[in-house]
Amino acid sequence: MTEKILLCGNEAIAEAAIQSGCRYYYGYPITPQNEISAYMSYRMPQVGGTFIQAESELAAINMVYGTATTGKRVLTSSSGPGISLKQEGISYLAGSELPAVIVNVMRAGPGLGNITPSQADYFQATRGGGHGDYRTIVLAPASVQESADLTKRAFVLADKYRIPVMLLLDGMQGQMREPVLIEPLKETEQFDKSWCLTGCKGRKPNIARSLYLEDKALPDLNERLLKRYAEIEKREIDVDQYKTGDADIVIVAYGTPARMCRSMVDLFRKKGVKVGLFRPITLWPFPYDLLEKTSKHTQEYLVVEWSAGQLIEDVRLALGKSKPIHFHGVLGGRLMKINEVESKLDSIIANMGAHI
Amino acid sequence: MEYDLMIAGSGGQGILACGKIFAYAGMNENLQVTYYPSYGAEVRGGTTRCGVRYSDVTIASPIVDSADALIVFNEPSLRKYISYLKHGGMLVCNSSLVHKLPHNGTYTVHQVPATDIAIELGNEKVCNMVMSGFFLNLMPRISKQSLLKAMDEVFDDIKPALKQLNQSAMEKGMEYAG
Repeated sequence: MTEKILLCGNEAIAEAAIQSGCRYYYGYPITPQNEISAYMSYRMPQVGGTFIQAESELAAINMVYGTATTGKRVLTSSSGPGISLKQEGISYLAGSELPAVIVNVMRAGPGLGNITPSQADYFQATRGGGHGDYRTIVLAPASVQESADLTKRAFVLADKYRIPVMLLLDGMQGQMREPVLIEPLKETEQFDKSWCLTGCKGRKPNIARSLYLEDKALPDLNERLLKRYAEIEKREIDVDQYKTGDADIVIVAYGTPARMCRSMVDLFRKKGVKVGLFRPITLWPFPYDLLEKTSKHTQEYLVVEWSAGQLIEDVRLALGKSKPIHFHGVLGGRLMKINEVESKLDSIIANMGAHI
Repeated sequence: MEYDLMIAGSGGQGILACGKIFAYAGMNENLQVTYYPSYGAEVRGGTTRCGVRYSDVTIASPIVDSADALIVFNEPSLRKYISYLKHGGMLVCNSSLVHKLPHNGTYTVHQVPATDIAIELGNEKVCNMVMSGFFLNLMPRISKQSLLKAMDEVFDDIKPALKQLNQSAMEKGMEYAG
């Protein structure tokens, strides 16, 4: 693809996966991510790939596991209720050190909730979600273009660290259409694939498993994983900082709320108030240190998210009790209007310095 | 330049297709553009809508809550979405299906019997193309060329006869606007 086209976030992810060399997609329908399946159903056959609408989310994630053992790039996608069902498989992928990309286009919960956009799966995504001591890399785009770009990065990171990578979007990003340019992924790294299950004629068999009953085998695995996670925390943190360098007030947000807040930065800068936006692109690993650095000059923080308050816990971990952290949350089932953030900022500014 | 458009009508009238065409057309004019539909729970016969936003700079939110123009294809959608039209905005109605206008509007009204024109052309379904052509004449930044290209991009796999019909319908709409 060499020219801009108008795609929704879901389609952009699907096409970017194709352009990353992903030839296996397994999914089960759920709004608001159905465009991924719909797109893959005709696009995969065009490129000689495999599309399967599985009989359930459990089946889909276990098909992902099977394909991942062969070292091939593989994708699945769902929304909250389906992602919950996939957690067993994601934990197994993590335990078996297998690369895979999982997309969660968040809808409002809990339970089946409804189909409106939400960000209430932040805890589930960033704290592992399934059982055991494991992490998944979590990437959070804020535009259709970035959804495509981060999909490509997700496949690279998955291969590099043999880890499941999650793309976390709110439903609005999945549904919104914007111009997007999706070029083929330029491979710059060679990945070790000697562990893959590709037929063992002439070599020792490889095994993909997450069951370790032998003495010391499981602690060894966990230690190996922890070292890898530390490496990822050191190398892969990414954040978009917009005018935070001299900001008195910093807004922390990701996804669609972040792009809304970006316009607030411009609006308040015009009024002479130094506002900045700190937008984590990797939700795990979270940019704790970079956020803490802003506290040298920033007086107040505002966290904006479409949940009852999940991202704010990471902000608290970064800042401690050193600075006031305000919160504007929108609960599942309701859409946020930009002027709500404006009113919130107005009230923060009016009360600045008034904390007792 | 910032311009917000909301298109609303009955599920099945081609509301979302119409929105996609105007989003594509904006992209063809090198504008920043977002398109956001009401999705999922809509049904044929119920009201549906989509919002298209145009800007010279990055668009913060795809939500249209104060539209410069509201295009309505039937009366229920007029009643449901008129509150989204901003003070001094433009209301574009399919007068074949919208008979009762609100009394005390602070907006300009433009009417076209799009469904009747579509039926005259032999296919009621091209009502949305008539509306598109009609609105094109009222819309400041979209050229006919960009709209035609957008129609090809949205309907990239249709029979030549249908493509011709779509274009005729659009031109009829333009003619009606004068």
